[in-house]
Amino acid sequence: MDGLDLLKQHWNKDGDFPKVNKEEIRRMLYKSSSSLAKWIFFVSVIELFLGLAFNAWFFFFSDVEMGRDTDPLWLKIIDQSINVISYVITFYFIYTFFQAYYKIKNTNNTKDLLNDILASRKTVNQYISFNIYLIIISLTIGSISFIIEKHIFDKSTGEMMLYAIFTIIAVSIMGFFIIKLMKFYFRLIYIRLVNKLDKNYDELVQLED
Amino acid sequence: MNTNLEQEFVALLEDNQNILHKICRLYASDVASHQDLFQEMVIQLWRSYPKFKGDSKFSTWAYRVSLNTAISLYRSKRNKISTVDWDQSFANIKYEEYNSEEEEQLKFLYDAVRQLNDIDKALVYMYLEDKDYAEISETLGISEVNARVKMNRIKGKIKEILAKKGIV
Repeated sequence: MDGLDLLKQHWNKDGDFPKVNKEEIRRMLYKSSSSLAKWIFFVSVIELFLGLAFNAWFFFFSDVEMGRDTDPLWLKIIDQSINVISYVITFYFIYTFFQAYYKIKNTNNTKDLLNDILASRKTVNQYISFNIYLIIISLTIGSISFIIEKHIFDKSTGEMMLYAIFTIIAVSIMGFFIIKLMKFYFRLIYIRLVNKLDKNYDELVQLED
Repeated sequence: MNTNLEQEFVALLEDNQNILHKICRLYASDVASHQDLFQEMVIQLWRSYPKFKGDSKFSTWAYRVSLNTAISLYRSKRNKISTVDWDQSFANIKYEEYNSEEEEQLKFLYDAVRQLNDIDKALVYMYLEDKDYAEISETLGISEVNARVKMNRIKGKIKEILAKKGIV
């Protein structure tokens, strides 16, 4: 007889469980849940709205502080288009996230449930990646605007080269640190929240593939 | 909140609470986490109760939602949390003390099961509850063949864990 069969023999006999009475159950009903889905929801909503705040700031910042007046028309058009696109994409992400979140039902089978939770989270991850690209694009546009404002094109080739190299280095360093920071953030918060779900989901799909 | 619905739910849950305790026994490693998981299961069951239409038995529905809670939603907390003050009910729960030799062996078996991953534990639970493979596959969302394959692997894993301890 293997171990599990031995356990099975005792499984139903072994009724040494506590008896939780009606009053105790009733009090439990209104306790706040500590479920992973709830935490993922909170973190996601905060991230989505931080992203929205960033977008708003980007809009404001690029309008006021950059050398607007000196920007050529093509740069203004690109800048404005990015603003509009980023808002459309942000609202698309927010909509997709809430739609995915409300699909989560604990009465589904386990695989579908895990899939639904992870799908809602995946939307937010894509949104964060999108914001990183947006930061890098905004840095690039800011730099181009700066270069134009300083009339660099009128200066000597040597000076132009120097400015160009300086700008590329500055943008790369900032981009590098932003991505590092994001990766650190993911390790800190995201992986802790989703690790268990990922592991369990993989465990279920592994065999199916 | 509808008080009739609440009364009905509380009564059904009181009668069926062993389902939850049995799942907790496999997923929790001590009394505190047993309490914690039990409470989370009750919350999740209560939240989805309005959608329970009686297509299946309450007990079937309850064990599925409870397993899903243990696998997907439950997040073990390191700090002591605000569980309802019901420690009294748990005074006699066994996690450590076992007396006879047979009980000792059972303790090793439970310990072995607790070392399995969350999905394997769910399979063990359904196996111990005598659920057939059709039901197991439906609950987890995997095929029947794979449920069988997994179950065989689990038996192997348990043997391995016990062998390491020099029991089998």
